[in-house]
Formats: sequence, C-alpha cells, structure tokens
Amino acid sequence: MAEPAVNVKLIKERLAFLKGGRFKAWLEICAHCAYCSDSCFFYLAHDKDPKYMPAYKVKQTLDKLYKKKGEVTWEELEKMADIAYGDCTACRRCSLYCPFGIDVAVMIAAVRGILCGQGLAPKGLQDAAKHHWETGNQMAITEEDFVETCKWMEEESEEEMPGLKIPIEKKGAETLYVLNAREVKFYPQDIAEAAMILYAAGEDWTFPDLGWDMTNLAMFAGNAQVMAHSAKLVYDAAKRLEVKKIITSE
Amino acid sequence: MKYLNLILALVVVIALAGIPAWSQQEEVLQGIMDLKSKAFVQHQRPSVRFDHYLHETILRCRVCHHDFNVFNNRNEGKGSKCSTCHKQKPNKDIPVPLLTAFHKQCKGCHENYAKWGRTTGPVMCGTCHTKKLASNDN
Amino acid sequence: MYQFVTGPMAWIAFGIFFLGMAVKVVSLFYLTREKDKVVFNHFSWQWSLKSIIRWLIPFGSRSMREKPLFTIITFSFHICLLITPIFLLSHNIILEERWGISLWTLPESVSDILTIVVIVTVVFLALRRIALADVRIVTSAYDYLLLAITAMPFITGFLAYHQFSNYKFWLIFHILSGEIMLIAIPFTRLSHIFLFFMTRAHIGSEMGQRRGAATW
Repeated sequence: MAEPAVNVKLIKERLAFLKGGRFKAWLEICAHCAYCSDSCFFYLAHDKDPKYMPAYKVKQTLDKLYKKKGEVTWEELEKMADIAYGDCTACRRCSLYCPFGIDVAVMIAAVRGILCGQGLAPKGLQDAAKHHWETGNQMAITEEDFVETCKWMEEESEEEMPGLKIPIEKKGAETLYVLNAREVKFYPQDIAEAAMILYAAGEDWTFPDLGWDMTNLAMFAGNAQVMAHSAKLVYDAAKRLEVKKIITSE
Repeated sequence: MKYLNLILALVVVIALAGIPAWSQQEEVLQGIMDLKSKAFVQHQRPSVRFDHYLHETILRCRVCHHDFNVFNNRNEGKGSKCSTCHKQKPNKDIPVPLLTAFHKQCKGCHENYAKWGRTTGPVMCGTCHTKKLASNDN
Repeated sequence: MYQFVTGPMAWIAFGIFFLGMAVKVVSLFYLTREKDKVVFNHFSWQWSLKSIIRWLIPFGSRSMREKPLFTIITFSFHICLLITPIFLLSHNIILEERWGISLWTLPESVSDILTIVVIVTVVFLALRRIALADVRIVTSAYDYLLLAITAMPFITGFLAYHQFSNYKFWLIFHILSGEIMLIAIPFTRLSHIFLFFMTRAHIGSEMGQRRGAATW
C-alpha cells in the first residue's frame, strides 16, 4: 500500500506557529540528565525501558520535527504518533521532576496537534471529534434522541420520586448540568440518578438542548479547532440560559 | 605483544622520573635573588627568581626603587625593599598593598614594554612563579 | 599570543557572553509575551521564587531525593564550577591590576581541590551518560562536546597551575578554553545558567498559581 503524502507545508506552518519562548527555551536547555525518567509510569511499568523516558519521547517527536524543519517521512510520522498517543498520557508528572521544569506534556500535545493535521490521530478520537463538530456531542446523538432519553428517564423515576422533572433548555435556571455523551447513549439511568440528587437537593437546574456534552476528545486528539468548538458549545449554553454555575458529571 | 603494555608502562615511568631530574639542573648566578618576603608568612605560589643584575643594567634605580635618592632616602644609600613601606594591609599613607606592589612593579612594567613593542620579561603567572624553584627553596 | 587572548579576545568573549545572554533573555521574554500569553496570566512571584529556591537547595525536590548520588555529584559540580573561577586568587589579581577591583579570594590549595572536584564530577557525568541506559538513549555527541567545553578550562587551568610540562601552552589554552566556554554559553544549552530561572519561574507559577501544586 502506498504511503500517504506528508503535508510538509502544514507541518512547517504549525512548527512556526508553535515556536514561542517556551518551546525555544525548553528544547534548547534540556540537559538530557534523566531526572525525568523515574517520574514516568510508562517507563517504570515497562521495567525501566529507556525508550519510555520522557526526554526521549520529546527528542523523538517535537525535537526531531524542529531539527528536520518538518521535512519528515510518513513512516517517521507514524512512529511519532505511536509515541505521542501511545506512550504518553500528558499527565505532566515529568515536569515536576525536571530541574528546569520543562513541560513535556505540552510539547507532546503540540506534536499531537501536528499529527492530527496529517490525519494520524487514533481513529476513535478522530471520529469523536468529527461527531462533536457535526452534532455537538461525541457520540452523534441527535437532539431528538436526547430529549426522548430524558423523557424516558423522567417516567422511569416517577415511582421512586414522584414529581421529578428533567428540565431541558430552561432559561434563567440556577445551574446548568452537563454530562458525558456515553451516559446518554449507554447508561441513561445515570441521568435519572443525577436528576434525583439535584431534585432532592432542591436545585433549580436544567439541561441545555445543545452543548450538553462536556467531554472533549478533540483535545486528546490534538484537534484545536474542534477542541475550541466543543468547549464553546457548553460556554454558549451557559450564556444562553443565563445560569450561575455549571455542574459536570463524572 | 604480551609485553607491550609492560614496556609502555616502563617508558612512562622513566619519562616521569626524568622530569624532576631536569628541573634540578640549576645554575646559581650572582645577582639573582629570590623574592621571598617574610610579610607573606606562607607564599601561595612558588617564589619568584629575580635577576637584579639584568635589570640594573637596563633601568635606572628610580624606576623600581621609587623612594631612592642618593642624598635623602629611607635606607641610607641602599635601595629599600618593597616591603619596607608596602604592607599586606594597605593604610592611608601607602594605599598599595604589598602583593599589588610586587605585581605592578614587575608585571605592569613587562606589560608596558610589550605594549611598546620592545623586548620584555615574562607576564604569565607561572613564568615568574616557576615550580622548579620552589622545590629547591622549601 | 598571551597579549591577544587576555586583551581583545577577552573583551570579545565577555562581550558576546553578556550581550548574547541579554539579547537572548530579552528576546525570549518578548517572544513569550507574543506567542505564549499563557505564561503570564497565572504568573506569581511567590510560586516562582519557591520553585527556584527549592531547586537550588540540594535534595530540595523529590527527584533529587530519588537519585541521591547524582544529586550530590551535580551539585558539587555546579557549585565548584561557579565558585572556583570567581574567587580564584590569580583571576582576582588580574582583575585588581586591570580595574582595581578584587573580590574575596580562596586559598590556592582550596581552589586546587575545587578544580579537582569539577574534573572528577565531569568524568563521572560522562561515565554516567555511558553507563545508564536511560541517560544513554538521550545522549548524543553534542552532550559530550558541551561537557568537554565546560571541563576544558578546569583541566587546562589545573595543568597550568601545576606547571605541567609546557606551561605557556597550557595557560594560553586555559584562557582560550575559558573564552570558548563564555562564547558558547548564549548559543548552547549552557544558557541554562540564566534560562533556569525563567523556566523554573514559569513551571512554578503554572503548577502553583494555577493548580496549587508544588513543583518539587
């Protein structure tokens, strides 16, 4: 199978855009001292396999991209994708271990952004981002389905807690409740249980009809555009409904 | 092949042993003095061997012995030592400490001569404070 | 040659060092302000200072405590590296001759020991790069080059001080290697002598002011 062409121009643009004071300083001063290696649970869990040490991950990804000025082969990009998505959770523990406080996770996130631009993000994340962009939630649940699920849960909890309502798009409510799309699709009883708690607590709350999915898988993919879009949906809902606070599930 | 390391080691040992042997070849010349001021108690660097003959043939006394005056001097017609006036700790009358006095006197002049493009004496630390003298004197 | 390396060459080296570092720090500051605004919106002097001071104290951070031998080595390396040239007797004598100022000085025997400490720790750091797998994998020739640039003034200074064979050669080599190190600082990783404070201030504020988490 022929390898897809690498969009070098896009990589170069991203690299130039990303090269702020932080990346410049970090990439230059990393002393390769290996203080960071013991911070990484990938490294520790792989029986101290050196290829999982944080500085090496940066050296193999962002540092390499800058050294080669973005002119990398598809194969190299795929290797970088394995590292950026597979060997790092961007937990930032290594930056606490680094004498210079180099934020490896931020650099790995930047690499993810570049890889995402080349279509190299893991398929699940890409799909989720696509769904979020198109439907406003990562699982492509229609507004109709969502409203119906809420109605259904309202009926289900009738016996246990009579008078319980699941309000949707109620303007001027005190609290906005947002959740994970997974709850709507696979665990609708979670909605009922959350509603019961909020009802019992006497909260004046509401779901929005758009922007009720607070997950942001595009962030993990490195897709900045969808990441901003996803966050903005929730923000807009809060503005639109004039709520005072937002509660998130999970 | 087996003895190569041994031979090499021997060569190195002999070469090292030769270094002090060379350094002990010293001619004792008249008019050459070792500058060892008691004021320093213990010298940090090897003392300096100073060729007074050489200097008095090319310089006037007053260049170094700047208090020298055949009619009216501090030391009855002979040159004073630097340490006669300059002390370790500078005071109001003599603000230049002894160490600086020595260094300015020798090195400062040598540097000036170099600047004027003339033949001059040593200016690098170890060219005056040579180790091989220290082994003789101490 | 001695006249040249202590005269114009010294001016050039110190000029490049101070000017280069100033340009670097200022340009990085402005570049950060233009592109990484995120650095400034949670900046806190308190957290910055805490983060810097903690990392200047031996065993002040968790990672240092986890690698005690390396911490001892790297701290003695850095301390001796800084103290020796600044408080060395002969350097201060030259300073006194040139500008009439002089700092407190170390006894020669002490500076001798400090120099040996620097050389020994550099050897240790080089061996560590070879011996430990996690260090070896991130090490390239560049790391050894920088170690050599740092160690060279001390090795040559040591040889010159003890007047090992050709004194004049070692002294001039010593001065030159010191100047090479000064010139190299703004252009290489050695710039961490200043950037350390900037990056530490950033991560201290980033983790501390934003999240209330300690970076040590």
